[in-house]
Amino acid sequence: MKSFFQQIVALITGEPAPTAGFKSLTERDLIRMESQIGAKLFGPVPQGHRREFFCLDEHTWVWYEEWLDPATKKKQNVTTRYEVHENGILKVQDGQPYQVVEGDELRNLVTAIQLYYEQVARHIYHYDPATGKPLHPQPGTIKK
Amino acid sequence: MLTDAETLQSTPTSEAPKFGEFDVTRAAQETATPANTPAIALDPQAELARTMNVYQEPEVRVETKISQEHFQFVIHAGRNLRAARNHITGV
Repeated sequence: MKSFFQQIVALITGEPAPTAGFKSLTERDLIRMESQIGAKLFGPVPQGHRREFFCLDEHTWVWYEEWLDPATKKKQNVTTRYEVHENGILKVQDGQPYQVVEGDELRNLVTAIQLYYEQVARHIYHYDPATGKPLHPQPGTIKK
Repeated sequence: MLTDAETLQSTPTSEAPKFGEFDVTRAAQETATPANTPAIALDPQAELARTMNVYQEPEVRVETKISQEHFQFVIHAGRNLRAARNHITGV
C-alpha cells in the first residue's frame, strides 16, 4: 500500500512516487514538486505551455516557460533567472543583458515569492512558515 | 514760569519714544532692500510655467530597490526551503 506521502507526490507530480520513501527523494525531485506549486501562482498555465517557477537557492529564483510555436511547430522556451541582491533584483534571460526588476514586476515577484514560500512550506514540507514548527506531530513524538 | 511738572507735560509727544510702540519708519528702513542687492534668481522654466499657467506633470517614481523587509524575507524563505530540502535528502 502506498504511503500518504507517496500518494501526494504522485498527485502533485503526476509521476510515480519513489517507493523507498521520503529519504530517497533528491533535491531535484523536491524542486520539481515545489515548482508544481510555483507554476500555478500566476494563474492558469495556457494550453500547450509548460511552466516552472521555483527557488534554486536563497539568492536565485527561476522561471521557465515552454510552449509549441504554432507557426514553426517547434518547441520554444525561455528561462528567466532572478538574482536577489540587497539593492535590487536582477533579471537574466538567455542572450539578454541584465535588467533591474522594477515597478509592478518587482511587486508581483515579491508577492509570488511570499505565496510560494507559504504554500510550499505548508503543503510539501508540512511546517508553519510563520513559526517554523511542524504542522502535524511527527510520528513517535510524545505530546507534552 | 513753568513748574517742573508743567515742563514735562509740555514736551512734544512725537519726540518721546513710547515703550512697545512699533516704530514704522525705522522698521521700513531696516527691511528695505538696498539698491545694490541682486535680484532673486528665478528658475526660468518654473517662472514660465507659472506665467503660462502650464500644468507640470509630477515626476513618476518607479520602484527599483527591494525594501529591506522584503529582501530579508526572500533570503529567509530561500534558506528555510534549502534547509527543508537538505533535511529530507539527508545532506
